[in-house]
Amino acid sequence: MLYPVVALLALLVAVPVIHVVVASLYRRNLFQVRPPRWVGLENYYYLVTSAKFEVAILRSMSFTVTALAVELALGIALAVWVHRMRRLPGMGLLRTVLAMPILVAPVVAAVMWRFMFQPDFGILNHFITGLGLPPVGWLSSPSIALLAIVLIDVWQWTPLVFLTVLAGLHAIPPQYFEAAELDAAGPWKQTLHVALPQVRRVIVIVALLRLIDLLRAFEIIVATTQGGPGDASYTFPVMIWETAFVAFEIGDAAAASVVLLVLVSVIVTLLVRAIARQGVVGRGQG
Amino acid sequence: MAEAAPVVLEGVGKTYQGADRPSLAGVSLAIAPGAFFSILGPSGCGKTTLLRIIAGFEMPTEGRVLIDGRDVTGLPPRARDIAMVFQDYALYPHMTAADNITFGLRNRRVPRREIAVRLEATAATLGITHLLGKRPDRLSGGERQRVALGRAIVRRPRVFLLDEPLSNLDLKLRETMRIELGRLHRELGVTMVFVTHDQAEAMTLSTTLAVLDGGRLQQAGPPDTVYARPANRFVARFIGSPSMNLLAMVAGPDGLAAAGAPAAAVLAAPAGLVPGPVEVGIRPHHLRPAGPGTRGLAVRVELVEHLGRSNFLVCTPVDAPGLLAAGRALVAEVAADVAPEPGSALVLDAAPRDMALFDPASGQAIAAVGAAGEGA
Ligand SMILES: Nc1ncnc2c1ncn2[C@@H]1O[C@H](COP(=O)(O)OP(=O)(O)OP(=O)(O)O)[C@@H](O)[C@H]1O
Ligand SMILES: [Mg+2]
Repeated sequence: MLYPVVALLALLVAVPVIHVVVASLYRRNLFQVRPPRWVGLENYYYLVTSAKFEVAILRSMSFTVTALAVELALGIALAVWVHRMRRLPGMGLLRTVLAMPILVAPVVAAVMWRFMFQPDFGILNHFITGLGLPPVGWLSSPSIALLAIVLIDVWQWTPLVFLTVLAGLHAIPPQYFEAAELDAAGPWKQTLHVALPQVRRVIVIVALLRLIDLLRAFEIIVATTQGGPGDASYTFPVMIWETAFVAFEIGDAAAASVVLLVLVSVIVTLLVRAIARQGVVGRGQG
Repeated sequence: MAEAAPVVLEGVGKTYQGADRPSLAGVSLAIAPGAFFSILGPSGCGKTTLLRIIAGFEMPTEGRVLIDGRDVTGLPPRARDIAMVFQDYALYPHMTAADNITFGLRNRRVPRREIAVRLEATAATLGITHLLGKRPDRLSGGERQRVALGRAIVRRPRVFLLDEPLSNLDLKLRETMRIELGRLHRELGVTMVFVTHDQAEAMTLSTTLAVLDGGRLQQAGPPDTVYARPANRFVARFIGSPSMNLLAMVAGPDGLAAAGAPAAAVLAAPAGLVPGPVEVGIRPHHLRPAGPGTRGLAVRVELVEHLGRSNFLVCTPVDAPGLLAAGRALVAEVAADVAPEPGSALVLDAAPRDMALFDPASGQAIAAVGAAGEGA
């Protein structure tokens, strides 16, 4: 009973992957009527020796690290704060409001933010010039564009971190806080020694989810800067998108996809191993 | 000798927000220094609520809480000189046993050297010195229980509060820890307030036993007094297993007759009992089979339960329909060699000194004959 299900699942996962791997071994351009031509690992060779490969890796890294750090810090801080204030009226409503960005489709979020980023009549510059500061080229300035996109992602996905961690905090039996209260631990110590250690696993899991998602994120970038200005926001997934849907080089795009898949798998596997060794994931707690 | 009572409750009541009736009402009691004070009662009667009010985790909606003569009603738990052992221990999972025990001392800025001394003494008392470096998830249930006790003991508080601390342990371990608790109480000479479901625990450990029902204190006193002289019908039925038999009777000049039956008196009445209706409580082991031809309660044996050391006879009265409350049977505990056939007739007798007497209308004990009922 179980094996057919496992086999089916394996097939569902494997077929697209195999398909992409096979495609990466051919040269094929959608604009040309020529049939796909077997080139072996040539696509991979061109990819890793190209200048854009290095740029894409660098941009992906800074985008992912920055967004992940901000989302975790902000989400955890918000969750701790809301949990500490849980007895106050209106906290439930606040939680619902804070959770809303998740419900917005990424493309819609990007379009919304593009309006707000608009240099002349966007609301952000309206405030900034109101303070007497020069207007900011949110998406047009190479030094700011990637941060602006990070901001969109932070707006959209910090709530996920917030909600997950908050749920974890709510699941802590109240006796732990009462014991800490008797042990004369103040709010800060209760957070540090009771709350956070007990949601460590939740934080690790949501961080992993965000990491994977950030490494693959491209909708909000395509919908705002499409990798620009210049190559300021040219992340790895944007490169794949561009190769496939702007240049129509299916073979090259497939090779890049395989590389991304391998990179994500390696990073995630290494992290999960490192974490498992710390005893955070997998073992029952006391 | 004139040491103040460590804990005094004055008319404490608690109605939780949104609740339509109080969880506690008018509870007044004083806990003596060095007492082992057990709180016993059916589920939902307010035991935990009472303990949490003493601890300061809940504010009473009425009345005052005094610790060491000081009104602490409005004070937070940390400002009261109490320690609490939680039912599921609530040990900090990421800290070693030693860190768990000393966390409170460190937060209170006790000098490091003194912390080390106290930790060592506490660990020695509880026999957990070899466990100090372990985290809670590496400890067994009994070991966790000891660490949780250590966390309370190391602070040397005025009062220990324990909410069903043994209920998570298996039977064998419960027994061990029960003895351990008794030993700790004697050795440390501290005041303990102990909530439990378990009568045996309460009876053996306590110096004072408080029985709670429906948020009201029913009786507080030494366990043997509560057992022998229950203050009311509820305590009579609640304490002891099998429960005390409660018989509706009428006192007359020549003894006690079953209520509603025209028959003559069947039991001797305690001296000085005012004639009239009375509810008579008799523990099962105080009912003895009477010799043939003597007077007594005529019953038919329905069921014999063999317990090895003794037998329980489950009986129904003959010709006395008003004697027992509907649906109840008369239970007698007799020697193991007394095993009448089910269906056979039997006469049961009881001595007046073994009877607890209650007013049928109010259910309160009637202070008659010799021993006075111990009031709350
Ligand atoms: N936080 C609360 N909010 C509302 N009602 C409560 C709360 N805590 C307890 N109660 C109610 O108060 C009453 C007494 O509860 P309490 O927990 O003190 O009982 P208990 O004697 O400890 O029961 P148990 O033996 O099952 O632990 C119950 O009716 C319960 O439903
Ligand atoms: Mg309780």
